[in-house]
Amino acid sequence: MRGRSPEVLLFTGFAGIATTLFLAWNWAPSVSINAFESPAAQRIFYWHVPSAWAALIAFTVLFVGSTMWFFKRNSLGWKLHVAGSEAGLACGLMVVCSGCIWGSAEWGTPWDWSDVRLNSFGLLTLLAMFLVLGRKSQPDGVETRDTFSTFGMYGFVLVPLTYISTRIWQIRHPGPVGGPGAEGTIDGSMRFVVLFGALAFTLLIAGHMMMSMRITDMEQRLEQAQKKLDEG
Amino acid sequence: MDGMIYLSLAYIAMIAAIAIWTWTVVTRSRSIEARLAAVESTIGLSADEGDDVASQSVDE
Amino acid sequence: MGDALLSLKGLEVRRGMGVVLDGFSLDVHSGDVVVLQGVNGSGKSTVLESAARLLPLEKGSVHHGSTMVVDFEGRRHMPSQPFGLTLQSNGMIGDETVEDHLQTVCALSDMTADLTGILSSYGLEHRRHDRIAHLSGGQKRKVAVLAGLLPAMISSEPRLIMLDEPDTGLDDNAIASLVSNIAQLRMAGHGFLIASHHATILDCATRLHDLDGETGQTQDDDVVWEAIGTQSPASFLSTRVGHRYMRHTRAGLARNGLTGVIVVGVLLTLFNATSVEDQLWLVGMVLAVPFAVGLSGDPVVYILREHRAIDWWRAHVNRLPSADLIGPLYGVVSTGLCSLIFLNELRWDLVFIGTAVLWASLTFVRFIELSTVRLARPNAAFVRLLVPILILPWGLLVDYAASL
Repeated sequence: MRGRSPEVLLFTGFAGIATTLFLAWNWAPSVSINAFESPAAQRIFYWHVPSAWAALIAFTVLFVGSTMWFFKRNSLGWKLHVAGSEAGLACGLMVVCSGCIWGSAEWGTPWDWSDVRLNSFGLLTLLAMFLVLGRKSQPDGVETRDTFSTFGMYGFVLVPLTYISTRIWQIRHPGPVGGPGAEGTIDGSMRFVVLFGALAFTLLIAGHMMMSMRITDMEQRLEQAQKKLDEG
Repeated sequence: MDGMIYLSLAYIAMIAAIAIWTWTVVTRSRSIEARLAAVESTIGLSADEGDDVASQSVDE
Repeated sequence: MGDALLSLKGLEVRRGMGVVLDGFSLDVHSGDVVVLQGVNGSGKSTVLESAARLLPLEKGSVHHGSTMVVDFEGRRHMPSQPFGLTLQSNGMIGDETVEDHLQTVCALSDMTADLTGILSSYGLEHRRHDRIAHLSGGQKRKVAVLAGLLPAMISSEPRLIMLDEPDTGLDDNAIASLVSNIAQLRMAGHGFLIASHHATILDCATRLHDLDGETGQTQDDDVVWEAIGTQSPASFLSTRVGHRYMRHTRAGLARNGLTGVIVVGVLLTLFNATSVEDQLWLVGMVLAVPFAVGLSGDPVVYILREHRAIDWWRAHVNRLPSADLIGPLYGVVSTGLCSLIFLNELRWDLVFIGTAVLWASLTFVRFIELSTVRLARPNAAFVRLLVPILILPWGLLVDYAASL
């Protein structure tokens, strides 16, 4: 963990996201004006979908880490829990904010309480916020880790719900654009920008999670070292 | 054209938010790294002594 | 010698960042007074709280008599015999009277007792009908210590008594009474596990334990305690105590009731119900009130957070005090009133749905709040961030109710 690979991933991911947004703004084709209320806002999709992909990666890492800590008291598991919750919160906020912007423009309302995917993603983000804020409010210790890893596992039931929601209950949210159950196809250059964005977000989120694990590791070593100093 | 202006503002806000988040994390990492190096060099602690909570019961 | 009253077998316990107990074993038999001594942070309270089933074990098991009450795999069983417990925090509700609290302790043993004599010996007889919150710090501690001793005082069968720093805040007379009671109860066959630094308490020990090893002491007491309790089976204790807490504190009205009133007020300010024609909106307004009342959480859990009362109860019962009737009662009242206010008629189908909404949301909030009791600072844990998970099911229910 002492190498610089997290920084490299962060830089590459950030540059990739900037490129994605530039391509989305300048290069991706416009959609039919008749099909959308707000064709320009549709371009939010190039940020919204890749960040949702990154958030699902983060929440999966959170679940794996929570399970590893809860059942095995594994130190790596706790680091994954911390990394997954922080990255999940950041990406979840990006997804929810971009969704609200698009919803405002297209649906005329930033939030629809009857849309299952919107709500399940919002709840995942709130769960990540609970884990991050709650953990920061508590002293580190086995009680804190057990409690928050339990909630990390509870929350994961929302991930498959989020994934299948637009396949089962399509209320307002658009259906999937790729994978099993996808409706129709999208234009080749649009698909390229989305995939490029997903790759960039994956690199960024991997860099963030590696960085978070490194910070957790260093904080634990610092705590140990300070304890030794306290003991004289 | 209004739509494209709002979109541009949204994109700028997004990329700025990601940049600030990333910069904060990198700065935090460097700050802890510096503090850790200072404390560890004072007491001569090896880098292997990590998670006190987990290390005593894991892998038994 | 038969089964020990308490057996701790190879305990490994962590607290915070470190392992506090590692391979710790101890037996307390009938007639033992084991006093744990040691510097602050050496693990005395950890031993007591582990023995009281309050801490999860990494290794080992705790047995009360022949019953395994908790082990490292998380299995928990109720002790077959009642036991006495005084934690470092008093573990009492300020709105309870002294008499009520001590009679509740008796009820946990399915007994009742005339407490006049023992209250007099601790200078509390004139305070028996006072609320605990109105007592001085020392008087509160006396009540907490008496609550720890009572299961032995009322029983002719040997009981285990665990006291954590019982001398804290007690005056010399109270400590003399305490030591005298310990000696008499020991002679009656009860067993004690006490954590203390106080010289007088150390002097009354039969075994002094410093968590590494122990030394024996001989005692020459001859007065034997006469049990003062009479059998009185206590059924539905958790429910009865939960409702008594509600009556004494008015927490249900203060938290849930006022929330309902505020929501009704806001809705009446925003909407003129007579001009709203959309059935979805009208039903939504009716069901918003029980939903908000339920989201205010279980008032008994809120009450139990005072002075670690929740831990005292967790040690003694598997089911914490709960005001089980508050959900249905508030549900019927709030939905019924809202039905009259917003719909101008009493819709019993909505009353039923509103009651279910209130009960379900109250239960959910209680569940997530109780899931964080092990945290060092449970009130700082942001659990309310998880509450919005209920909005979608509530919305679906409103949709369904509007179609009726």
